[in-house]
This record gives sequence, C-alpha cells and structure tokens, in this order.
Amino acid sequence: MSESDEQVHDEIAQIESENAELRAEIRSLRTFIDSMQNLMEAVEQPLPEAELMELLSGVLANALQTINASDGSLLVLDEDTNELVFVITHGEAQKDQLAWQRLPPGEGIAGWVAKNRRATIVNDAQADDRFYPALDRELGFKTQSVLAAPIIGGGRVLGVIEMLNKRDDKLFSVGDQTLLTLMCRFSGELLYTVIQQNQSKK
Amino acid sequence: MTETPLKEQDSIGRLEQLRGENLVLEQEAGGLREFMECMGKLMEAVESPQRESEVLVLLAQVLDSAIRAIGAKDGSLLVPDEETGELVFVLVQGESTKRSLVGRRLPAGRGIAGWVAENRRGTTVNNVPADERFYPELDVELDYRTNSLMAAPLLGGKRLLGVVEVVNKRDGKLFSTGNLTLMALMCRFAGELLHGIISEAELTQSMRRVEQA
Repeated sequence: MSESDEQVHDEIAQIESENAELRAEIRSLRTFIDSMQNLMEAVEQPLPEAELMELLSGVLANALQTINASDGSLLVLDEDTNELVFVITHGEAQKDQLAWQRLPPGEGIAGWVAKNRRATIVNDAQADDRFYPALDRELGFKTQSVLAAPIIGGGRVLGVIEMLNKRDDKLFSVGDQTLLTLMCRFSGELLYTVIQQNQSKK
Repeated sequence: MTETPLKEQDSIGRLEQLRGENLVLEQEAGGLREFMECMGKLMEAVESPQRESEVLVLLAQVLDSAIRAIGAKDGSLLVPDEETGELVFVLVQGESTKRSLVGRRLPAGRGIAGWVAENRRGTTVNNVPADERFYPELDVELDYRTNSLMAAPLLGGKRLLGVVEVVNKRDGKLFSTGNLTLMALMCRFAGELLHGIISEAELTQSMRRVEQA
C-alpha cells in the first residue's frame, strides 16, 4: 500500500465517521422538529383534553428518543396543592405504579425545577440533595441521572418534564438540556393557548 | 487493501462521493443548528423582562436566523395595519437590503404575504413571477427580482401579529418542505412568546414607531 493509498484510506475512514455523526445529529434534530410541528398543528384546532394528553405523550416519547434516555415523565402542577403529579410516563420503569403519584411541594429535582423555573442536569442523582428517593424505593427503580425542565406557558409553571438515565452510561449534556428546555417551552406556550381556548368556550 | 490501480480508482471515487455527501450533510446540519440557536435565543430573551423597544430587536433576530437557517438571500417582516387592512414592511434584511422597502405597503389581501395573512398559513413559491398571488408592483418600482419566496404567519394567541418572508433561495436552489417547517415553527414560537410577554396594543405601537422612523 503506497503512502497516497494510505492517505486516501485514512481520509475515507475519517469522512465516513464524520458523516455518520452528522446523520445522527440531523436525525435527532429532525425528531425534535417533528414533535414541535405536531404540537403546532394540534393547536390549530381546539383539542379535547384526551387528545391533548396523547399529543403530550408523543412529545415525551420523542424527547426520550432525541435525548436517548431510558425513562421519562411528564408532571403537571396541581395549583391547589402545589404538588407535582406524574401524569404521563414512558420507558422501562413500572408505569402503572408511577402514574398519578405526587411529589410534595418543592420536593425532588422536579420540585426544584418547578420552583426555580429553570432546567437542571443531575448526573449523579443519588448524591444530590434535591433527590427524592421515596419513589425509587417504592418502584424498585434506580435513578442514576436526571435532566428536567419546566413547562412554562403564559408566564406560569404548568408542569415539568423529566428524563431519567441517559443510555449507554453517558452523561446528559448541555445540548440535551437546550433541546428539552425548548420542547418544554414550546409545549407550555401552546398548552397555555389551549387552556385559554377551553376556558373561554365554557 | 488497495493493491491494484483499479481499486485505487475505486477508493478515489469513494472519497469524492463521501466529500460530496459531507458537504450536503454539513449544510443541512448547519441550517438545523441555526434554527436551534434561534429558538434558544428567543427563549432566553423572553426570560428577561422585556422592554417594548427590545421586541423589535427580537424580531430582527428571528428574521436574520430565518434567512440564514433557510439559506435565502433576503427577508422581511410585514405587520398588519388594522385600520386599512394593508401589510406594512417593517423590517428588511439580507444582502440586497432595500431600505426603501421599509414603510411600503401591500394593499389588503394582495401579494403572497397578503394571502398568508388571510389564510393564516405558510406557503412556498418557487416560481414567483408565475404565481397569481404575486404583487409585482414593488419589484418593478424598486428594481428587484423576486424569484422564489417563502412566507409564514407570526401568530400569537390566535391573532395575526405579522408575516415573515424570506426571498430568493441561495445558489438557485428551491425552497423545500423542511424549510417551511422550520420557518413556520420559528414564527409560531416567536409569536406565542411575544403574545405572552407584551400586550397587543404595545406590539402594534412599537411597530408603528419603526414604521414612522
């Protein structure tokens, strides 16, 4: 193999891996954009609540896929009690048991996110002061890493989306946080619009 | 591995093919990154309390990002004049920026932007002169040539706040469905966020001021 052959060979390998990375990036951003688009289209016609939940469930599934985490939940703020309620869950954990569980006001990483109105990454959940271990114990689940962002619409915190346990033992990145924050923010504004429409119809 | 000349040819061919793919992928990823950045900036901007004057700075950013994410040459933002039903050019950006376009008006329902405002949905037009909705008067007056155009409504809380247009895709290419999705999303996000932070009257007022400046 001559020197130039080797160079060509090296360059092929390099561009191949570069292209694979670019394809993965594009795929992930496309998934994200698709879910944003679904949300946007859904708001064009007023949605019954059941369909709205289905839509948000789709957003959560897309978020899991885009961010590559094993489990995810959507929590809605109960304005009467200030508790966060697990409304939708996806992933490997036992969903039936988690659904409709509540986090006491300000408890857990999700509670912190709702209170502070900003997203956070916790790559060692068990060592974090904010972590609320009761649910892990109850469900026999092990939370390792958490990425959570607030759902804000019309200036109000409406809920929180949580991603748990990034796959392949990787850490959640700032890029992951930006993606989730955007998804939540967009969902929030649109949700708020739907809530207002439903209220004005009543 | 490459022991025969024929194989060497193959690998050079392969390399060229990969380079070509790389270019296309880089372009697409670049557009998507630009889009993400714009959405991120929008989000950050509304987290900090807004002053009226900053709303237009925000919109100028959206327009700039839309032009770059989509790979167009020029772009503009039009806002409705509630009293006359006309659309007024409030911001104009791009390489062939025609300052003289600012303050110009499209008669009610005229032009592709007028169609977008009326139907409240985005549209792609890759052969503008052949499109019935096109309003050629401004091109003639300003000695400009609109070949392709994409426009999307800026909607906030069900109300039309404006229309964003990007004009003439670079390198003679056609606008794609993916391009329209990105633009529609940017506009929708910007519209909802703006709607959430300032009153409608304030928005109209601040846009009027620019128009008069």
